[in-house]
Amino acid sequence: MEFLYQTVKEIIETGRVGTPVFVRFIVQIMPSGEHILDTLARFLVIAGSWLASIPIRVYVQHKENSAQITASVEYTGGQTALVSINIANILTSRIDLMMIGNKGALYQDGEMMPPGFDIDFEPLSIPEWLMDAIEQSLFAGKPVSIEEVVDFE
Amino acid sequence: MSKTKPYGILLIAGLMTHQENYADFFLADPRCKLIAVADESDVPTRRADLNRKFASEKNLPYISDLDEALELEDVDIVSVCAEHERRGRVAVKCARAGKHIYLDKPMAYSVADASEIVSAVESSGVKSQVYSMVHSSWAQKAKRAVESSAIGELIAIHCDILFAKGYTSDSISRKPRNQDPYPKRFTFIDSKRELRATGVYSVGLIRWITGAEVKTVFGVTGNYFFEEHLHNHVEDFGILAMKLGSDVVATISAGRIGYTSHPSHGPMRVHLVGTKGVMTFDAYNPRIEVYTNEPSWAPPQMNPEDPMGFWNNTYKNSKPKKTWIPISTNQRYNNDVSYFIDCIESNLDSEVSAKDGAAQVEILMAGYLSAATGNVVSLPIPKE
Repeated sequence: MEFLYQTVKEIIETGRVGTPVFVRFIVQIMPSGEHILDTLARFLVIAGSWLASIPIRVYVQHKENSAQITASVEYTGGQTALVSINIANILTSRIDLMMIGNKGALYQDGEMMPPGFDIDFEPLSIPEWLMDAIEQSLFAGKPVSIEEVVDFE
Repeated sequence: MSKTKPYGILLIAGLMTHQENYADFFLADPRCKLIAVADESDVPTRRADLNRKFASEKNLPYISDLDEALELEDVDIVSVCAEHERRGRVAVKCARAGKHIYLDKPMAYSVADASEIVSAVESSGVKSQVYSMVHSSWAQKAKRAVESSAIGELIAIHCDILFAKGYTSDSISRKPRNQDPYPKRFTFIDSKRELRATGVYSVGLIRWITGAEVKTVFGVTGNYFFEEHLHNHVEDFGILAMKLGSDVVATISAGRIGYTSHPSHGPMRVHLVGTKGVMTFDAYNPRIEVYTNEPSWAPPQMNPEDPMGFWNNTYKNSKPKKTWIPISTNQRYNNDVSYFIDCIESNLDSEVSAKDGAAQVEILMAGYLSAATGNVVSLPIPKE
């Protein structure tokens, strides 16, 4: 995951796709023992890093008794992200990525990740307020404004 | 019921509408015959001129009085491409005149208009169909995957249909969009409300593939790419997150992302998440990728009458992108219209009838309401 994260980051830094405005992740991973909310948070941090922005609103959806979770996020600059994490008994992980900038786009078309692909890569720490927002939205079944969960002091 | 005479087709509105495409669909089906182009008598001069020019190009008469055109006995089907704001009124009139109606998407301006079209269709006993992508091979495969339980029980469905057209701008400031909860105007020369214009395809596919109704909608709209959209206070991008009747989670992204953002027409794909894993169906898979020493593709010269490249006719001399060549696979229908004619002949309702079109309109309008308020909107919404 570190290589994917870095490669996308480096392309963004060249300016070839302009300013990133939208990230779509469809992630399918093997059960690892990590809680699905932590995995979701990690991918939201990655998306936020590429978008160079922080969320203002997070809406998390989950179908009961399923190993799937989907987050819709709006960021301070108006950017958006849709991140879906799905845990399944599969042989290799799979990540489908679409990142759209105002001058171009990046696509990673759901290729199977090679054995040993490190899904647990954590490029940046997961802020506590993001976990709180995810949990609150999931519990309430509605979008959560980050202002409601962050103590800006 | 099979007719001995061809079905007579009346075309409402002409150039710079999707009638440019639909007329050719009808022409391609030997069971159909174009009769005339027509419109309401009080349309603006520009619209009337575009209609007349289209009629002339197709060697058809132009009838500038819709009532008069609907009295023609050899008209069986009306293809309705009137602008959104008057599409409901025109479609209702055609259905009440006993004509089958083929509707441009989204089929109506408002939930109220959509409801009136459905009532007119039902009370007149005519057939209706809204243009959609359900006959594309990738959509058909996705539906089969759900129906055959190839993915196990469906948990989530995600659909991205984005159009790689238009000349993007670097000068749009990054800030959350201030969305009008009840948008009223949809017709501009240089922009469309893209959540509606392109999102309608994804919303339609999700309902058709799953066979489930949408219960709740959360939406966000954005201005990312085009000064034209910003100037007209309409979005060029949007996302929806929905909950379906079976508690299946559904999301879409929709919009116009610029000519240079995709090797072909733009991303078009659906992801199915089931208990057995994820399956993706893509309009460009399977495909051949072609790389040659030909000059690289370049966007066409901007036509100020159609800067976003909405219409085929204004860019008919532009060169297509040729790097990705999808491998044709068997499709049940190559032509959306032929399916509609089959429905009429078999006295069956279309799988994308006016009733489905009305549901699409309601979901999209709920998306605007959600984007304006930041809240999840439950369906049904009031007929504003």
